[in-house]
Amino acid sequence: MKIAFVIANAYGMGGTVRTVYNLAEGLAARNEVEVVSLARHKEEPFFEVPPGVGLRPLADAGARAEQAAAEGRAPEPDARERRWARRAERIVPEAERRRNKSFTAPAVIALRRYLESTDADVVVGTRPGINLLLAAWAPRRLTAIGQEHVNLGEHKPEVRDAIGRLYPRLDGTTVLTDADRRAYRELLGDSGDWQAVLPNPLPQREVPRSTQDNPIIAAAGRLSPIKQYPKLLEAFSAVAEKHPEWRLRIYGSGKEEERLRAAIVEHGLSNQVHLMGRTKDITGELAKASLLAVSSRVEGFGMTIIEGFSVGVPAVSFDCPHGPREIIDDGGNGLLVPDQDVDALGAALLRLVEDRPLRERMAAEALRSAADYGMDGIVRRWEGFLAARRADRGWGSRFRRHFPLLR
Amino acid sequence: MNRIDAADVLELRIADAGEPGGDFGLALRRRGDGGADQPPDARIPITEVRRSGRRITAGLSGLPIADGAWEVLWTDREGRSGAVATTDPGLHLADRFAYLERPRRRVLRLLRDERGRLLLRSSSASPYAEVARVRLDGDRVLLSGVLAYTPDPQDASALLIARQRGLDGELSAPAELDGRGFRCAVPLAPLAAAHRPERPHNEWDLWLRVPGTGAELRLGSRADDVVGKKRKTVFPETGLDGGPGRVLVRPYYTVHDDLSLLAVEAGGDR
Repeated sequence: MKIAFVIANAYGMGGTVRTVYNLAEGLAARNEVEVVSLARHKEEPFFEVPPGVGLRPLADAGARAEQAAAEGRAPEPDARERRWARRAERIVPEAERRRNKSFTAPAVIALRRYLESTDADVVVGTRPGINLLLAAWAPRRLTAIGQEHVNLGEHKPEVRDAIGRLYPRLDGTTVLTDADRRAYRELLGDSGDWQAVLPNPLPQREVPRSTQDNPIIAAAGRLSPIKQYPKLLEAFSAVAEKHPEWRLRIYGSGKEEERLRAAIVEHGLSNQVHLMGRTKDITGELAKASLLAVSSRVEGFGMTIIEGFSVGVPAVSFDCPHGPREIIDDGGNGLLVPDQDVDALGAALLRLVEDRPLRERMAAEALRSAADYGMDGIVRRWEGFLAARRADRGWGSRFRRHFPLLR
Repeated sequence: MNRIDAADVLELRIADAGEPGGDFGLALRRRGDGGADQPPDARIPITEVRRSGRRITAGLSGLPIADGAWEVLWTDREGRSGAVATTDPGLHLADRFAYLERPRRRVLRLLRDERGRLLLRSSSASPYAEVARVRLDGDRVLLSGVLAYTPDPQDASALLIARQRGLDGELSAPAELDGRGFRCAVPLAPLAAAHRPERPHNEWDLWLRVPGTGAELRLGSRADDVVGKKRKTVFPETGLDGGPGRVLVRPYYTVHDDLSLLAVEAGGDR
């Protein structure tokens, strides 16, 4: 089958782009796969487009768009297209358009044209605004799927309302966690096989393996308030004081860096905490560590935990919504501590720092858990889901059958 | 698993599956990163290879391995060769610290590239003082660490010297040696008193003078794999009354991962 993933900006960096490219690569083994990008702000994408996957930009953005306009290359929309653009503003809530700047008039017009002309069998949207446009505009011959990377509860109320109204027109949706599926059930009622829980797969690569020799705890993810790294510093202090040879390495960059630097000084951790910045080889870096720590307020999925598992690094995490409790088996492949209990997080880290045999048992268990997120298994589940949605098209698509185009 | 011990013996443990059978050797191939001395593709056969079961050892100490990255290759009698693949992440901190304890001019380290190939990195090195701990204690900086790549010291005392970069200031403080370990307290008041406001940043580079080890040893942090500690670490600062006004002092790592002290006037441009 031919599958098209529609991304807001496939030329940028970020979790969604990375995971969609990764899944596209896996699906491309037995399917024709194309990534469609609403926006294109530069010549080459940040991440390499996987082999065998096509990339189709729909509209220039940013400086590229300005340059095209200045050189008279920007297409002038006709009356009908201007109407489409106005409709798109009603379909995609303002909160979503503010959050993601890719929903420009040229982009939504090009998306509508694409949907009318593509020979794809399945089109998969990858964020609410796109999924809503697919729900409104995808012709009946296309199987339209909404892939959600963010938990329903994290969306703004007006976005949730739009999801409640329009998602039932899709032929199917996917979410990353059971928790998110429960949230959708509350919003939409029981949708049966219309929605599937399909976690992100691990990239198909040879990865190293932690020796459990190095006194290093790793943490990874954007330096943003949601990751609550100052809480992790506080928890790590319990380890740092008793075991001065242990280090905490934080991978990522972001706006919280200055605050975090101040917190490192405040906790007296200058010798033991390193702000490692971004890395292109996260599994290679995680494998140098012996433990992964997660101190987030919310963890939509928890890809880092799975990447840690894949290199034999157990995780210690708050039992925060939504991902960690679905990935970490407390006492098996890691430790879950009561949500936001910093002392408990510190005590759990200390316990594993001091008990190498336990850490090694958990590392072996973590490697076994990682197999559940292997590319091959996840790709087969996607293929099964898409085939079933194409054959069934009941629960959701009946709305679109009766009212094919939303005005 | 693979490692290099303090005598520059490379040790590999090969997996059960996928190992080259029968007789095989090892070689190094220059990675094409534009080294001056050897063309890319230059090869060095490793002659001293011993195998016992899954354990392979290879002596590298006598080989002329120029600075740069080298791929570790397996070779066989028919002249075939291939990259040695590894699942070892390439960092064994305990080995890295043991490696500091001998005099040497060349440092060999193993690493794994993103594609899983085993690499050897060779770099010229000079004796230095590896910093383990830096602590600000009132108006002193407490420093401790170990001597790296020097002979064992004969004395129990040494001297820490702080030199004002680009200027002529020089201060010193006694340092204690315990085996290869060193510790000292650097008083900051003299440093603030010697502050020269015509230079907005007064950097003080730190050296350790150890009797019997030859030259002075620069303080730095190079034993682990964290390169670029200038951005990656953060130290507290303290305020002192200096010559013309108040002076803020804090330790920092330079772009070469050497340890220095930075003094700036309070309220001035950073």
